[in-house]
Amino acid sequence: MTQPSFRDVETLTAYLDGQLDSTHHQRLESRLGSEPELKATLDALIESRSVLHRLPQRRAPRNFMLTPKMAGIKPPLPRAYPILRFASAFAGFLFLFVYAANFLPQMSLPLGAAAPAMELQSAAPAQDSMRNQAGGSCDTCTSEATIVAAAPLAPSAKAAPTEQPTFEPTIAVETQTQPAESYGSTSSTLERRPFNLPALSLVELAVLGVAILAGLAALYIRVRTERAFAKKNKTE
Amino acid sequence: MDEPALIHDAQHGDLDAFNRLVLAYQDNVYNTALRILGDEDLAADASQEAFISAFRSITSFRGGSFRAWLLRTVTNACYDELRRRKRRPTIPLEPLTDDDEEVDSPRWLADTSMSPEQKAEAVELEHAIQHCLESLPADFRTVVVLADLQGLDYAEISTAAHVPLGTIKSRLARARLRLRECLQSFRELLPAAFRLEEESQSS
Repeated sequence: MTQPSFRDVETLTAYLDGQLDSTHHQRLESRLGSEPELKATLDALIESRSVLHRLPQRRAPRNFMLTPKMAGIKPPLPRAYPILRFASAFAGFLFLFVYAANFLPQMSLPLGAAAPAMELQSAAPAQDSMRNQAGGSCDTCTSEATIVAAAPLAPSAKAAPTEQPTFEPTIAVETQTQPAESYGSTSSTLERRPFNLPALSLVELAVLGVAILAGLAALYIRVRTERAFAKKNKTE
Repeated sequence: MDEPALIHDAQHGDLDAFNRLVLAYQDNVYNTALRILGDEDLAADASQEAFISAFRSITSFRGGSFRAWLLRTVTNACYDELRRRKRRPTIPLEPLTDDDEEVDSPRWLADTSMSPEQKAEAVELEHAIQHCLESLPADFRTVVVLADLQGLDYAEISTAAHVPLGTIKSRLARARLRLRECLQSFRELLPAAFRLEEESQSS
């Protein structure tokens, strides 16, 4: 007598579980009649299985039913909510709009125009003080300004024949003469600014208010709906 | 219970319908997890995880045996737990003998119940079988639990364990042979018929 091979054990397992087709089934049954070792192995497998069947089926220690929270179900939101859901996207869009409205016009100005505007701001108070010193006479103002602007030219004109040009006087002439020449062109910029800024600020404030209100409304609706949903599930 | 209707409703997000399926299958799911993991608390956690996972993926159920599909989720949850346990092994508080040696198989020797004697035998037998199940590799254990404890056929086991049919036959044969060897060491606890068979083989 020989010990059954592992293949025989596999066949016996399938036979035991009713998984053999009719041909293999008949062939195995004829072998079982003539091979006691094979029959003994089958009996051993049957007994093992019957021992396993003796394991008691335990009852679940608790109910495994899912709550909406465990299942990840969110409460149904009111119909108006989808509009408010876009509050943050709306605020983001408006932010970009305001940003563009503030900075793009400045970027589109020519580079040369920005510098004189700044210099003019510093030059204007100086001119005002000169007017005050002169006692408020408008005629003397213009003539004195012209003299002040032309005064630095004298040293450079004198220095030219002696051929001792220095770097500092030249720069001084350039910087001091430029405001006088460009005064007329930048005066219009100065006049426009006070009108643009307050208008833009009002738009910004209005947009900010709308965005904050929409966000708060969305938050309020969400919290209120979730509380009502949790309360309803608790009572059920 | 109209199972197909409940499955259909659950697939459309009806939690009440799914919970009725949970009530119908929770004992099967828990017992499968208990026999694979061998720990009641871990089995309860794995069962809960399995049901949560099943609800989230129930739309992927395309017909066939719902029980096999559900047991597949619990099998996966058990494998996750076994992998976690392998990564972070814990040292059990083993009872020691007078010679400071660990008591063999403390799980099955420990009498956790205070029941009468006739009940104690059944509890010890259960512990012995559980001990032998735990001595099997996880893949073999899963197949034998699904086949012999849950009564699934090979096609259902193939779905639940996610292995081909040929592999199931092979694993089941090996698992039953190993179980047979292990159970021989608990002969005094086994039913009389099993003992008689042993004696006739040895003579």
